[in-house]
Amino acid sequence: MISQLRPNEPIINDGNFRQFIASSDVVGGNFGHKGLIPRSLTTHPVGVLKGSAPFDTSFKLVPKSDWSPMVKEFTETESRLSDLRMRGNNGTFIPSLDQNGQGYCWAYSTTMAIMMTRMKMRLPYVRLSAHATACMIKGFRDEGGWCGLSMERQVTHGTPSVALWQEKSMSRSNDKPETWANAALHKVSEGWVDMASEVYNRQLTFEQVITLLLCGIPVAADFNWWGHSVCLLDVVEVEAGSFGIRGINSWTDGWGDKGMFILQGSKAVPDSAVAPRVVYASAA
Amino acid sequence: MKVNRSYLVPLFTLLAMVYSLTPLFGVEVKVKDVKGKPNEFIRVQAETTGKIVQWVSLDDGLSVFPSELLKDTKTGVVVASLPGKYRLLAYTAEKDEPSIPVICIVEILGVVPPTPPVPPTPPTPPVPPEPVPPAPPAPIPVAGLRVLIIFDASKETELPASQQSILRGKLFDDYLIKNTVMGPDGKTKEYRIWPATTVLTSDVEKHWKDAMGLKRDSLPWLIVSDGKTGYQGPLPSTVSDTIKIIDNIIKPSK
Repeated sequence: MISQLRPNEPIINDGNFRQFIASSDVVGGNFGHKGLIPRSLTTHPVGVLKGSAPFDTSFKLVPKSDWSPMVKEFTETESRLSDLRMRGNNGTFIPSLDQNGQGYCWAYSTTMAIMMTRMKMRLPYVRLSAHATACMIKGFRDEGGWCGLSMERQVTHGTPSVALWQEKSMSRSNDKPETWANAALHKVSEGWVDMASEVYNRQLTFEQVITLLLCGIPVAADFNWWGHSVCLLDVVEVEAGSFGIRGINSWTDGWGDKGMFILQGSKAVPDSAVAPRVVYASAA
Repeated sequence: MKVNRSYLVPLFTLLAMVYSLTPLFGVEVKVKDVKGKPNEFIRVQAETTGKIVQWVSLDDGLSVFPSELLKDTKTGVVVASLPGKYRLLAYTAEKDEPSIPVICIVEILGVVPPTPPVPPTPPTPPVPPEPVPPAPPAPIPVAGLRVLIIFDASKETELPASQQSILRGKLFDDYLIKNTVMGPDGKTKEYRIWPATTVLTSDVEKHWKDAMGLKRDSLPWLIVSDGKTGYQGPLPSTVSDTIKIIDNIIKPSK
């Protein structure tokens, strides 16, 4: 039986999460990485973003009784998004993205979700530029945001290849027509899923995220405790009846297990999450 | 009236044996063997002092002319149509005492026709081969094996696990990587798994655009093509059944 856990991935939970927080940053009153600005459901309620659709109008929840058998089945058949990631680059693995330098995790999480969706559709592998999306939204300022902002722009403008806007580049010279012509090849189609709940109902968000991951739909998720946004890939039964979520970070393959890690307990419950269902099919 | 003579042979044989041992019985009959031709009346003469002689055929095929129609019953008349040897029995009586019955051989001359051979069983006619239906036209008229799976993204969470293993599992991926042709970029194999609402950009190859435009009766849907023939139909429920369909395009079963 194939193990659900990867050999070197850290399991981040309520007992050890402080090891993974940068002590120099404060986000929302808590220490955390810069980059994530918590979503305000007052100014940005679920469903208000262009092209989005609330989870309830899009999908049926997978009942919790089905989680364990589905996780086992997809582990055995190597059908998880992490399995696809390991062979999605023409038989080799898709490298982690690298945001290093700017607090643009909120754009890197959605960009990786788009790349994973392209991989699911068996489209040619293209490394996309998250910096292009974040720079245009923030006017080339190194400022925080949240995943829904990034996704909304990736619906209207698309995301260019790093061949047109180099990764980690803050140069305004990248902003040119050919860049956006290429970006238009990689748009997210309307109908992407928007998930967020008030604090009293965050369990619903967790179950919605689990449902999408079980069906191979990648999720970009914001975690206020971490001050960070990451792309989520799999559901993992860490212990019998205890489910965690595997994600892929944007801190290169040198972090975690080729960039991958597991969140468990309350640390696995996102504060806001978005998921692309369909992206444009392009040859490059 | 047809006489059942099945009992007569053993009976008269026994009587002949008994009477031969008792010279005390009075009248005698003597008859000699005769020969004749098929379908010819043959006379058989009895020597006896008895006034009336009775004639009895002991074998099928030898017919006896009714005695009551004869002027002198001491001459029996027989006829047979087939060559062979037939037994004829004769007896008489005198002063209320029967004679010993005697048997003579009537030989009908000629070649006994051989027993016709049993005709051979005619050979079982070969079952004509079922007509081979013409191969369906290729849904993607470009040389090389290509596979396109189309599904309803809005119902993705409702697909059974076995079909999700078709969309994402390693076994099917490895099979498609091995069997489909290489794409124009020299890196990506020619198989795609697309939601039905996928927007195709201008740089997507024409054959994929055309394949997405083909009529579909349901979702998820499978299209397989090698450029000469192919398959279009509902996506099977398992990886193995899907591979069987594609194998039949690669190597058609006869």
